[in-house]
Amino acid sequence: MQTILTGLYLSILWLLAVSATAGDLSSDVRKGASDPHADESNYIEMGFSLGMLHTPFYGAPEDTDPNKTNYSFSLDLNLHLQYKGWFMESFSQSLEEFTLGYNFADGERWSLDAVSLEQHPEIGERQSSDLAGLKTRESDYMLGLRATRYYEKYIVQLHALTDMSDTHNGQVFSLKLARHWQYRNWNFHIIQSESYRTHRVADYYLSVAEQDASEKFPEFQAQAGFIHTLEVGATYPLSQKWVFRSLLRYVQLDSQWRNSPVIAAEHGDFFINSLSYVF
Amino acid sequence: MIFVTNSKTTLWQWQKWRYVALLLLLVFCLPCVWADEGRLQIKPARCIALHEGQVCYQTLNINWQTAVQGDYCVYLQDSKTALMCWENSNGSQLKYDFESNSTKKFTLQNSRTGEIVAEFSLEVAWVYNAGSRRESRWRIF
Repeated sequence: MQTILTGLYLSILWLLAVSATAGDLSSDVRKGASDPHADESNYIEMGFSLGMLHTPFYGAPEDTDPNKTNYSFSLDLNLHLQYKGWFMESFSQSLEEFTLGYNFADGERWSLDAVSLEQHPEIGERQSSDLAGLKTRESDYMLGLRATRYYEKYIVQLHALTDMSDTHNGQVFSLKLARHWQYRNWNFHIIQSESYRTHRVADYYLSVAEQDASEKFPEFQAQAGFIHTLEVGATYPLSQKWVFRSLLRYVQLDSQWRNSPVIAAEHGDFFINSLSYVF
Repeated sequence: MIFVTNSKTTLWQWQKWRYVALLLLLVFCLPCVWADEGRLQIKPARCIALHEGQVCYQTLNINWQTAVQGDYCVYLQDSKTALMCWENSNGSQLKYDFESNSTKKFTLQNSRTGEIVAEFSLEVAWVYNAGSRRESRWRIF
């Protein structure tokens, strides 16, 4: 029954096309948004990114070595589409994944949305050959509320999500505080994020059960914990159609997860520069 | 044609007066027409901000020329103070740090007569449009 309802919900979202007012915090703060309607227009962007990263996750992305600086190149698709209250948004440098949602309340300085998104990608051999021998952790799909408050140059956003895919049946709560500055035509931002994963989430993705343990992936029991993220970035309009973005992100994982076989380091960092064309 | 057929002297006299008249026209009349003409050029011609409503910043190179020498000033729309003035000049340039959240018109004016001899509209554009603000609202499916 739950699977049917989930499918129905997703179908409705897709059929009605999407999006409303307040948008993805990472996208909003880069635009210097001071109200929920700053991101109200539809747009699609395509571009590419060049990045350097130290990953805290073992084998992810594939062929990355946590002890070395890894380089990446990716093609980006950023979009924000909305129809009445329905919306879809994707921003390659966001702290969130591709999001489908419905805005059911908003005002001059606040917004309340129902959102659904994949919060955790699949972890397994299909994603990285380094994870061969590890029991695959499936990707989830979470549903919940997103509340956003705008106050001049500050944005505060709260997510309360629960698993609707029957993958782990856990919850994720996150609180993000963002601020933006403008210096000439440069737009600078900073985001501090505190994200809490309940025991079910941490256990599903980070624990290794006794019967699944091996020499490479020994037994481990993960508890609920936090992920702390700090991000600084800059955005510059090169022309009316081309936008340059730069970003430095630091991620600190809960210390008790350090011994999980899928965690390579307690912290990671990510530096990326991108160029996007706005259609 | 009548003069040509009458005599060579008459023809020469007519041609002489024609040249004199043309010279007088060049000396006195043409400057009167060109006095109103000038050229105001600004580069770059657009200022691009990231989001609609943001203040756009741009260092502008402003060049102006006029047909005749005089006293001229460059003004920015909505400002009573000139950006810069020149005396007894027919062209010059300046750098100006522009900042505005909307398209603005620059004018070159004769400072003695107040006459606008040239103008240029500097467009302020942006990448992302702003949505329209609304009162608080609640939706149901």
